Amino acid sequence: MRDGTALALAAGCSARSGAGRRWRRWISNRPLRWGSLGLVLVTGAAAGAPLLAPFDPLEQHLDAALSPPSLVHPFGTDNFGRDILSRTLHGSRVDLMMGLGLVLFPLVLGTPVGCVAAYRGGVLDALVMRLAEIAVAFPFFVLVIAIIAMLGPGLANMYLAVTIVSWVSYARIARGEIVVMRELEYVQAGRALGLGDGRIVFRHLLPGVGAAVVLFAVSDVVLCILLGTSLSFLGLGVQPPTAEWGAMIADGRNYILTAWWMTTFPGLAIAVIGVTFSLLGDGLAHELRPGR
Amino acid sequence: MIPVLWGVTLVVFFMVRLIPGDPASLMLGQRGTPDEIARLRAQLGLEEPLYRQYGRFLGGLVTGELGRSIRHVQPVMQLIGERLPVTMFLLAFSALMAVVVSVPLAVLGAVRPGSIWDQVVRACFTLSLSMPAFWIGLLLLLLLSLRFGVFPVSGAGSGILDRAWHLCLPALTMALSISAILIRNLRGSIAALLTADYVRTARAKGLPERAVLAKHVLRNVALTGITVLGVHMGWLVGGTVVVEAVFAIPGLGGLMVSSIYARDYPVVQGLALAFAVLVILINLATDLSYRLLDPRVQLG
Repeated sequence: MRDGTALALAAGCSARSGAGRRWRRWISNRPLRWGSLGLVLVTGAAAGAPLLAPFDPLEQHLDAALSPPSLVHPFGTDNFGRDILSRTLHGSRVDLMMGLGLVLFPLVLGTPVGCVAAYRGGVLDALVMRLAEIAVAFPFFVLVIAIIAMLGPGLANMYLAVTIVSWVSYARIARGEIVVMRELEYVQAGRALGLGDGRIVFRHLLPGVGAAVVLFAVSDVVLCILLGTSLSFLGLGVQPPTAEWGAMIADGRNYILTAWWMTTFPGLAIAVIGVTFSLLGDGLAHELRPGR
Repeated sequence: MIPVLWGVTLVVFFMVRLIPGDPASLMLGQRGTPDEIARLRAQLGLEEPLYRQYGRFLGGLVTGELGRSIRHVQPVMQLIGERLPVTMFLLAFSALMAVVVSVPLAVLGAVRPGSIWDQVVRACFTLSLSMPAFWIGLLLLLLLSLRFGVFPVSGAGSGILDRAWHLCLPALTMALSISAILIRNLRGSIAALLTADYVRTARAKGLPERAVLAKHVLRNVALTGITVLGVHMGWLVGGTVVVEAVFAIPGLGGLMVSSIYARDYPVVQGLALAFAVLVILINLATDLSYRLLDPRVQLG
């Protein structure tokens, strides 16, 4: 009886301070704190680009071409006299969307496929695993670039090529989780209650895969932004004159000796967004998988 | 390995099917007359049924025939053969550089965990992992080649020393990205080994710390290092494409990029296959090296 009240009291206490403790833990997690701050900054820059940017990113001022950083143009101008600061700010919209898109499409395709394959097993599972082995045999970048070579350059084809290749990563992660969860009691209970396979997979198994998939996805954003900017740098992704960081660096390449600012600032922007998501990934790993 | 190789040939074969429209007319571009297009279609075997095309493709592979480059008017196999040594040199050089950089830094971090030095190294490498290789390459090129003239601006050089000098910056660019991963893993396994029983025994025998690290710990860490390098070799191989383009190195990656611009589909196809085979062979070599390093490992 006494034990019961003590337990109830303890439960009440932890429920009341649960949110506060969660917040304190979140704040004490250094990578997560700085990563969240970076995310606020980057999304703020992306959302507010039209307001924050002093110039139109596509507006040309040929008389002010290649001017070094100054008060009017803090990041300088490019060979067409376009303001680099404005282009970098507007680029954050393109690159953030690109990074998230390149993660989201494969995630949305791969996760359910991996879940269903692992739950049903048999031919489907074997097929998914063989496909995964073959996809891993290729260097990721080489396969993506070869597919884009066939489809033709451009943003849409970049999404398509990356989705074709990298859904297998998400399918593999989901599969790994489901194989363990499949035999858990609540899933067996669901089966015993006569629930259909679709309902078990999508209502009861899919949510449990979330943590692993989200963790991978956050660090995958870093890779995808590097991939997307690399492809645009090579002229195979986002096409000029769109303000995109990789393409801006490619523009600056011919002026690297005379106008260092053309390559430096967009590159720094990529580094900022990359570090942001790296920190978020590290911090979340600490929160979601303590001890792993 | 054989089913994977077979799958790789399927992927490479069907890759060309993704081309929207007629590959022959796309390859010849505006200049192609209907006659030339028809001739190229026949040469590529596009008029035959799919299974016959795949059969011819496989038969070609067995005899080392990958088709002809449209741009270079040369067999694809010959083009790849000419450029393979440069890319292999770059890969080996960057892997070596990554090891040379990572091992001392990982040891420092593991011996004094949480020290300022440890934190600086970790911060630097989180940064290097978040920066695009082509940008790091351009900055190195700007500072060390163009401004101070320490290294050549482009090309691959001839002879071992000249080549190493030419490929120094590209190899460094690639090494930086993989060092971050290598240091993180090595640091963890060194730290774990430092508390192992046999290390305590070695210290108790009165061995100096330096000998304990060099003779007892590092030898066991080599396995971790090789595994990490092996797993990330695909990443490194992919990196050659961008890095060779930045530094204008006449290797496989540079050929890949220029062939994509020229719509030289047979070369792109052949290179995709060559890169995949390269990664498969590297993975095989990784597995075999376990046997050499650790006598307990049985291959079976």
